[in-house]
Amino acid sequence: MTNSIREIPISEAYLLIGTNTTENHPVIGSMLKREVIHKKKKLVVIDPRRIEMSRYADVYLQIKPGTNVAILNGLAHVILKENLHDAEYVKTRCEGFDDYRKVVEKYTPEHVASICGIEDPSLIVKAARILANAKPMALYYCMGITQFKSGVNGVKSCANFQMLLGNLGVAGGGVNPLRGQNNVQGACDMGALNAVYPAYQPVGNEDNKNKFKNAWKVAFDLSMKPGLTIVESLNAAIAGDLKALYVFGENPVMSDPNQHHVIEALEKLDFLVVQDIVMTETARYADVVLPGCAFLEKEGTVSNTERRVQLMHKVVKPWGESRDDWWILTQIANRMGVDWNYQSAEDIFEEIRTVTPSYAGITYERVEKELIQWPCPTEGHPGTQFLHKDKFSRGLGLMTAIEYTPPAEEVDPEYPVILTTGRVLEHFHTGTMSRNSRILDETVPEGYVELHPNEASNYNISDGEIVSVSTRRGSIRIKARVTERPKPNVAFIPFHFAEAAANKLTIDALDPTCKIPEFKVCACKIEKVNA
Amino acid sequence: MDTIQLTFDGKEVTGKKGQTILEVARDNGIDIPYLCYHPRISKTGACRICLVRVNDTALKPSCTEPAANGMKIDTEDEEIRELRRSILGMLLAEGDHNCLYCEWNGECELQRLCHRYDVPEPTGEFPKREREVDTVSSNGLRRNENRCILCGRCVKACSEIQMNSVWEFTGRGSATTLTSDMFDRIGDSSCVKCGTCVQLCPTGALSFQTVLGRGQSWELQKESSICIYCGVGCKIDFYTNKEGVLVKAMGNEQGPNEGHLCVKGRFGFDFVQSDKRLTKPLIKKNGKFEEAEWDEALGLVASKLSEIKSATGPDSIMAFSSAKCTNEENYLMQKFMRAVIGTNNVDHCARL
Amino acid sequence: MKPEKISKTIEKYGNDREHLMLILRDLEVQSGKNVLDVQTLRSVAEQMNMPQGAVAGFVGFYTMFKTEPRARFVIRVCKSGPCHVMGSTNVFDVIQKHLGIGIGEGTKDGLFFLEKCECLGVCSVAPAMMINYDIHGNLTPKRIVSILNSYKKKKPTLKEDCGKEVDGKACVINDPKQMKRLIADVGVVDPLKIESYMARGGYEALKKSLKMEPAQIVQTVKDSGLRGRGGAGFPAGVKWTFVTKGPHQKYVVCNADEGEPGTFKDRILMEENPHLLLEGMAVCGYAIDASLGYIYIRGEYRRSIERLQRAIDQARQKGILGKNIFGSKFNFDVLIKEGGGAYVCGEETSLINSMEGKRGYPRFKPPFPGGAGFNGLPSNVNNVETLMSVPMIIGKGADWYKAVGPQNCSGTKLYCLSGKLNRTGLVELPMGSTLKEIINVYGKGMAKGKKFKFAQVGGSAGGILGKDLMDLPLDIDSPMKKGVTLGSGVVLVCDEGTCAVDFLMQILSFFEHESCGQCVPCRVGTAQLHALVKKIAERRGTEQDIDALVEKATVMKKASFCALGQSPIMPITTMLKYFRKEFVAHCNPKHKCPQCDKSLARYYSGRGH
Repeated sequence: MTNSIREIPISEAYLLIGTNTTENHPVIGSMLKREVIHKKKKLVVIDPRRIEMSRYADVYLQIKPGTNVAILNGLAHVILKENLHDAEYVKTRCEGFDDYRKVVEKYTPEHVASICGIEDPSLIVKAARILANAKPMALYYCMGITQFKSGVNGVKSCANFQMLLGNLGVAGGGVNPLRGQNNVQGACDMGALNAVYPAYQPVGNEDNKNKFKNAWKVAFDLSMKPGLTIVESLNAAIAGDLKALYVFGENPVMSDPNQHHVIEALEKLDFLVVQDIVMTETARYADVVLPGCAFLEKEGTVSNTERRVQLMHKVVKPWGESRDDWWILTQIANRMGVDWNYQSAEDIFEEIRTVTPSYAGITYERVEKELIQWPCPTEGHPGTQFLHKDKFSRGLGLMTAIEYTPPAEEVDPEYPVILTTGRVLEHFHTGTMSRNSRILDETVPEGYVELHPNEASNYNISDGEIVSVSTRRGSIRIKARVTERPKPNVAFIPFHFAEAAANKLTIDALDPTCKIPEFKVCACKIEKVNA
Repeated sequence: MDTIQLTFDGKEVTGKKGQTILEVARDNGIDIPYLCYHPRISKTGACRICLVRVNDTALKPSCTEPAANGMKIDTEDEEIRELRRSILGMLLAEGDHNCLYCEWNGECELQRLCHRYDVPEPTGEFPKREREVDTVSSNGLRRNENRCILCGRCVKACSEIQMNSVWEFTGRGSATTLTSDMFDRIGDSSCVKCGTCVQLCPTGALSFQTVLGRGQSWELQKESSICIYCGVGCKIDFYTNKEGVLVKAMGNEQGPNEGHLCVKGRFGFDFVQSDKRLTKPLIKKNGKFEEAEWDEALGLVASKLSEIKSATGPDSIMAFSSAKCTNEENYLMQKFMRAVIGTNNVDHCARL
Repeated sequence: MKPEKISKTIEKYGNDREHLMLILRDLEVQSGKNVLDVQTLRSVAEQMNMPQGAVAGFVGFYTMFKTEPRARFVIRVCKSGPCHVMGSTNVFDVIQKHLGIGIGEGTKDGLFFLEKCECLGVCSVAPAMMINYDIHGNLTPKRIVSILNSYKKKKPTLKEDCGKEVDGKACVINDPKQMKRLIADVGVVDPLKIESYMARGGYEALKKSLKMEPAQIVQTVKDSGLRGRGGAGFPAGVKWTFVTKGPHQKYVVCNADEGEPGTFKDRILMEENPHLLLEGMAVCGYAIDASLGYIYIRGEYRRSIERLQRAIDQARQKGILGKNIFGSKFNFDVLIKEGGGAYVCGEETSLINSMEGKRGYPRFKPPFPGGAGFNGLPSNVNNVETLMSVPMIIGKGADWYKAVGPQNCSGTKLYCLSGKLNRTGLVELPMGSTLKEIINVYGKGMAKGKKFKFAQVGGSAGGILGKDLMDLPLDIDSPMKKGVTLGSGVVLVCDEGTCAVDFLMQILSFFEHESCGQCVPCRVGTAQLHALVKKIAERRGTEQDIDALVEKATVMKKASFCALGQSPIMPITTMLKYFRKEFVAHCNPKHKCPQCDKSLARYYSGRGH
């Protein structure tokens, strides 16, 4: 998030796009609801499903999955046409406006409505006016923006939109991605990415290479070639180029698109190590399984969606012979010829501070008492509540002209229904944790496919009936839930359930820049099982 | 901001304009007892426990009365003590407050105040209304309204923090009761089990299904951590019993969540102590996993990785790091891949 | 009920929460069984986009609504003070005998359901009952039976069809010695015709006001010395100045939730001269810069509601309500809100909550309604009698108005006479008339030659006056000095046949029934007081129980949230001042008291007592 959770009360309006906030980030969802319901703040919700937040919205735009860029361009079109944008901000703080303007010109409400499947184009005009007339306005998004072949474009469109309205670099505004995992922010910050060192320092840069070589006292030259992303690595395994894989608390068999393909890749490997807390669907394919500690058994820091670094404490004793993940890694590394001598998580954190400028001012002692959000370059620095205050990190904010591109797989007579995936309130990701928590599992014990009554009647399906959902990649049997939540011709499946794994169906098309898979849209067909 | 000066029991303190007497008192560490007030919800003014004397004359509820410059407050005198004792006595008589059977024994705010004001045991002369006891309909929440003092914190927790408005008062006067939705049982209602009502309940009227039989409140140990689920980073106080078993999770007010939690943060922790946990390293031999000692497993991983590295090069090895692991562990994993294996093949599920 | 039927009803009143009362009342009538079943309520919540709990909480608060099926006709028999004294237990007896049902029970044919209720506002013709929305007074066994029989062929409606005996004019004492100001036109003006009102000089004061500066009007009202007639006696003009000035919307709210047992003055005024209220509200609206007025009328007062609505419609047609009234820049309109059977809604902040479609809980003050009232906007709340006094003050001047009555409580007062008198009804007298004069002159003395025992002045929340206070001026300040209150002007006279314990039991059961339940001292205290006095009435009590009544009521007086919980102390202490001996006598298990026996047998039996 460019901005902070505690700024929610400062905002005058909210644009939620591709985030089912009350289920996936319930605590923030409640905070947003409070402002909208009790303080009558304005709300525009854009989502293919009639999610809870849509009930409180001044305008709800039910778009076809994969049309985010179009709708954002459409809103910008109205704002520019009616001269509602922050011209001063755009002039002094941004560049690329002319090209942007030119592209946006084509996106008339009528044109956008036809791309997005919105019946009434005037809703787009209404939404645009609401968003432009309330300041500051905060934009929140989640995987409903990013998990597309055009994910990067979706994110850039969000940034364009907020720059256009002058809502970046102000309290209560911002482009605010809601991070789906408790430390996905930190994992990125720490350089657990194929192309960057900690603090997003590119591996392809000579200075960075030398800096880390020295800091880590490495004998050989560090590689400057960006590594593989997860989905790429699976392809490499199938191609025979990747021989060994070390999986650390992840469950790609469940979480990655196109499950058959993932399993094929894992089976092809020479050596697979899985380090986890339970026997996951992925661990079954491993050569060695190492029991790691669960979160309540360890100490360490995590960074939340608003870049706030917080300390986790050891609450319970490790289960069985499970060990801290850092201890296991240190042991393996030392057996491979290095001499790591960490005695605690804090020892590692002290090293992180020396190579991660944005974390340099953060200490365990400080985060125990203070609210600190990176960047925090020195111990005297209070941290940063919101980014891009007076200028953007690159200087001027770059407005990028972006055209709408359709998803990789569109519906056709054979696969006539759009399939989208996501989470439910009671479960999390692949269910490793939530499905092993009694109350959560009892509450929602099984998966389902949400079908609009139109589909239900087209395929003669009744609520609660087991149906077959198939795509070009696979087929599952799953209980139908007939509801007006999804847009007609859109089916939704939560992906937590191994018995009815949504990712047997999803497509592994990737965004060309960031390689994110297009989980949120593919073509499927629904069939009655007991016809 | 405008400041105001006032005295509490003769002590000069500074407050902010617009604060109530109770808010000034709390900011200055002055103890005024209360039951319906809670800093996270709007003011109610219903329990009347927090009455104080203002300027030597009027008794005012400190939770709703605006503090004013030059006010003289007495937080307690004989008359106020007597009133508090009487009101607490009324509450004891109204419900069925048997601490012996109550899972909130030791943590109950009513119990604490009754001790403090030496409230006599109710005589039982006044008829009690049978109220709802529902310990079965929800797998998360228990409800025993005979312990309810109708302070309204749960109603406001649900309508002002969770924003679901499941709880509401119905009936009137001495027949007032709580209802969830349209006279439904809590388990049949639209409750999403965030548990905020339980966290704010000053008595044992609302409670969690997880606490019973897992030790008494004063035996529990508290330690904070950060929720393992989504990216909000809710700070949670986890309670464990003498055996080290996790008992309950309470939202910590210092975190970004300001004390609020969702159903996952509240109830999604027992996987940590589930039978499904791995207890020992496993090595697959002839297609079957066999338990191994750490030394053997670690040695095997190190030697296999070294072997593959020298055979097909560092780029033939990949690691999936984890957004569920700490900064330290992620840092170490990328360092391991880059500095020990010699590849940038490290990624995690940020995109998934 | 079918969702379409529900949505049509919602459409009729509007989708906002503030219309919930009218929507539910209409749906209940439509049900034909006087019921709002859970399915209907769920549908209402969904269609109005309200939390289900909010609807459940609302229905549970207002006693006129029920979620269990009742019958085509609900018989509500009043058991408040005046009716009780005049024999409401007998009414239950007759109904039980005739229909075979006790309280909370219905006849097998689905025609009748019996409930007890609190004051219906027709106390001069007590005992009374209401069947659906029709009120019947002067109930004798014969009349009860013939009334019940007449319902067998009727269809339930939302309209009132009351007997003549409860008609406003009929409830005014016809005595030339009165000083008629407020009721000067009662029986003269045709309440159904605006022309009739205007022919008598109606709306001239409004015309005059519009030529004055608003501040001038406020000053005139201040100068007149007019004090609130709802019970608290706060200077009206001063209250008007509390309304926050500025460009925002402001409201005039008329408190017509006349619920104090024994009070019926506002009902008569509204029924007989509705335009006078509209005129008073419009003048107030002009003075405080409010363009909208609301009249919150208790749901039992169907005739007031109907006549006021007709008056509003006529005034709108004549352009007296609406935009640019009398060619000025002043815009003003009036809307009606209804109550649902809750005495506490007479408290101005409870009333505002109720207007908003919420449970009638009082709000803490500050903020006062003048700063944040209806929908959070500045609202000036005045009683009917207060607002109706305004036109004459403007028309005839402050000096004229205050020429009558004591210096600090000027003007006339409407006294509501009920109980064991030869003549009961409404009289208008200079403020500060004495009990002696009221009883002897206007009540024509004690009925049936019996001896005076005590009078309850001010309603259930008022005090007991014995012979020693016969000469006390019944104005606003003098009674306070003697530990009693004028309140809304109730004078309920009881003779030697009235049992003090039984009488207090009715008062304390009233308070338990009407407590909103929000604050602890009142919620628990009213229940405990009722339990204590019942124990004494059952002759199981002790002298400690008598003392406990005072102790509990003292705690309530000091600690309760609003006036309701602060009130029981007055009837208790004043009653004990005179009749403690009688209470002590009741502590003897062998003591005989047929009155207590009858009340205990009648009011505390049946399924829904």
